[in-house]
Amino acid sequence: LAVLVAILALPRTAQAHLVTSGGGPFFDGWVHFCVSPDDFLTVVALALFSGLAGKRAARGLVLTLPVAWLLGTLIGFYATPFSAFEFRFAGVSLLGTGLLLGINLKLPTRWLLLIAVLVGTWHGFLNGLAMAATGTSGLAAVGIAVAATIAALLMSAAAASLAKPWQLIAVRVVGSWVAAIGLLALAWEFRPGS
Amino acid sequence: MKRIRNRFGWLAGLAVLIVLLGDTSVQAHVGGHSDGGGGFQSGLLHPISGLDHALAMLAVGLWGAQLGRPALWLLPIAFPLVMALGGALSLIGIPLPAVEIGIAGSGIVLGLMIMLEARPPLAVSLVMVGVFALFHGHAHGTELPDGDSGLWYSVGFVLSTGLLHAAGIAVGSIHGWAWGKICIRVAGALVMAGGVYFLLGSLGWFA
Repeated sequence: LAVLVAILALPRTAQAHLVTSGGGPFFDGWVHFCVSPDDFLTVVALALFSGLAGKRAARGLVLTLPVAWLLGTLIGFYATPFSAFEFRFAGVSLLGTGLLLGINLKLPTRWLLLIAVLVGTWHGFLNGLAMAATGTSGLAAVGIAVAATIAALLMSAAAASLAKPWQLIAVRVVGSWVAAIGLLALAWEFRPGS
Repeated sequence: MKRIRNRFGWLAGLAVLIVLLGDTSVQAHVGGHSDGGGGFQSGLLHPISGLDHALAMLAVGLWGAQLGRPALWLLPIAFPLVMALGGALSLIGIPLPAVEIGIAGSGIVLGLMIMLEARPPLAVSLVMVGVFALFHGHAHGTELPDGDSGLWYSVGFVLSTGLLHAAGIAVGSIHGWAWGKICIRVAGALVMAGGVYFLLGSLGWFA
């Protein structure tokens, strides 16, 4: 949580296209993931949720999420007929993953992995659309996927290793925060005049 | 008691950290979701810049600490979610009557509960906190500055609210001592007095 707060509180100027890190497109993708709360917090919530579900689910998430993410990016990148539509529902996945974590819903591992595939593909798809629109190098997609994998690995491992009741509660509180952010972000998209 | 102090000490530290870091110049503008910069900072500072909001958030944490488990963790989970619902209602244009009175009322009622060390059934305390959260959320949604990033504002706003609860819980951990119980009840009385002040203000007594 402290790392999350520190990242969010860093002064920064992100742009509508990928952030220019100075380290090339791979690191641009990496930084983009870290300063995009819709991507970052969704992965954090999903990873914590899978970690609470056990080591098997956590391992599965780390393997499936990046593959789905890259696949989604590929689809989005070449989905020019759909790029005219504006996809702005960042709140949906935040609300969904936040609620799953907050409630700590007990799901079979295969269902959890299906959610991971859907989330990864959806977010990758949105990244791909944005990349195609701005002519961003494909290497940035790899950077985003690697950053997502590392975040998923760290968060799911941390959650899987928790044992004390108050630690489990703290993780679920994070879930309720993510869900609250998602709900507000969703309403923001539907506000009159938006 | 020492275990409780250790448990919540890091939360208090985090609350201090967020306040300090909140003073940085943040110009978040994330692709595809933003209409301008500064959303995170204004969201972060909004709950702590209004004393009426801040007192109620701290009171939720204090009351949770007084009530103990499971209210201790259920109240801070329920509050941000219902508050977000209130904010969402405001953003999509659904009005809520007497928001300012509701916010002032939250200070009065929560302060009273703390002062009396009241222990209503869990469902009652959740409904009470939920209703007040709706008013606070609605006010936050209404006061969202034009041009700010909605997503970043939401992140800052929820984080700040959660950390205020955490600070309340951390302070409330002194409940284990006899003198601590008295201090918390005095704090409850102060919150209630603040609520009365804001109620009179919203009724135009200080105009």
